[in-house]
Amino acid sequence: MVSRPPDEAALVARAKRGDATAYGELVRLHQDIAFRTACLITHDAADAEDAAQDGFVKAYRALGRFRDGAPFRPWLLQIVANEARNRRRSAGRRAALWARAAQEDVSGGAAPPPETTVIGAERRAALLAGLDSLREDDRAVLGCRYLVGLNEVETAAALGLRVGTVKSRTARALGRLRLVLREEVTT
Amino acid sequence: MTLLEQELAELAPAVFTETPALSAAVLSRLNEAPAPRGRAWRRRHVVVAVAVVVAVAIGAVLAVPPARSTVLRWFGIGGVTVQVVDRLPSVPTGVLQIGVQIRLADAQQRVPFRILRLQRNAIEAREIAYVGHFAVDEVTLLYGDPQRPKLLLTEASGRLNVQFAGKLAGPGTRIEQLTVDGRPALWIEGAPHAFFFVGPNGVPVTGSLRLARNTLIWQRDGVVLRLEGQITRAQALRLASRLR
Repeated sequence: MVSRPPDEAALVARAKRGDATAYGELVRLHQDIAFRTACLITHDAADAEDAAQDGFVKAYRALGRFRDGAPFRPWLLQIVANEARNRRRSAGRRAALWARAAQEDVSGGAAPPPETTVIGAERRAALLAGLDSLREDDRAVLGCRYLVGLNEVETAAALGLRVGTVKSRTARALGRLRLVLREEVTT
Repeated sequence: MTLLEQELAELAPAVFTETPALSAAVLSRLNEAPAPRGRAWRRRHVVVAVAVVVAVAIGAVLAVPPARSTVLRWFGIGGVTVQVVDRLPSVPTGVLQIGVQIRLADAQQRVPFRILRLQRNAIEAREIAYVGHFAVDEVTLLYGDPQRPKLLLTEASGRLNVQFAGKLAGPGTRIEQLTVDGRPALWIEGAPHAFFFVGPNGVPVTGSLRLARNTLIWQRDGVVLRLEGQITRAQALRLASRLR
């Protein structure tokens, strides 16, 4: 038997009436993007988990202000991202997310997960190093758009930007990344 | 989507750790009353907690008299007492009862000591904090999956006027006295053993049990620490040196 995907609008409506089970289903549906978006901001998994958890709790308490029929993800991501920004700590952690991933790649310790086998380890390490060399706002927009897989509206909500800014910043960041990668190849 | 954009999308598994399951923790918090976390709150709860421990201990004297007769030998270390007994009480298996999951920052508000954590590069595992199993100043950090934890690090203040926690050990358990940072420590390995409270009169409370594996118990700055897991003594000592 094939189960139908839950209707998000119906879940939100039930959650607004105080149905915690429905809200639990919403959490399960969106915990991946919430956690990963928070990771991009905090650069720390433990802080990201706290931020995502707090964001979900605050969102539940704010459901009464959520406009019926509006998309839930951008609204949720805005709350989670605010929590993540509140937790963001020292500049020393700024690059931890990318640097750690790049280091693990170079060290070749554990076998990469199956999803990562499409691009080679060397190329992956170069991409991670390239991302790490970008400005924080460039990294954030590329992370939201491509690593988390958010659309432009969701990225705008998470980063507190206008959609137009997300478009232009994404194009600019991709250009800078291309430049960095090309420079790495030629030097 | 360009090739570069596709490549970026494929980076996600290399960058992000596995998403933790959040729904249970979120749902458990939805019904929470606004929780004051100030000093007065903590003082009140310590007083209540001590009363609860004493009451439980007194109840246990009546409830499990056989436990008294089985005690063969005691090792004392700070607030922890290890007893060697000739027969283990039955322990419910499959359920790890270590309290309520809580954010580490909130756990820190509930205990009067600075919570020590394993350095990030000491163990490749998620860290989850729990409090409230024994109702007094204790926090347990679980490393790994809650269903299959790799390590448990329990930290308890020894300042309360009760002997805080202990271990009940069977005849198949080996207990070795050693030192960590120059202070007395115990290494316990072998057959399963179980935690229990020790009341102010020294009587074991076998009502609050959990399974434990190889365990290192030691003291540091007035805090009793217990590190438990499928680890060797050398691994435990190495991990103990990597707490910050």
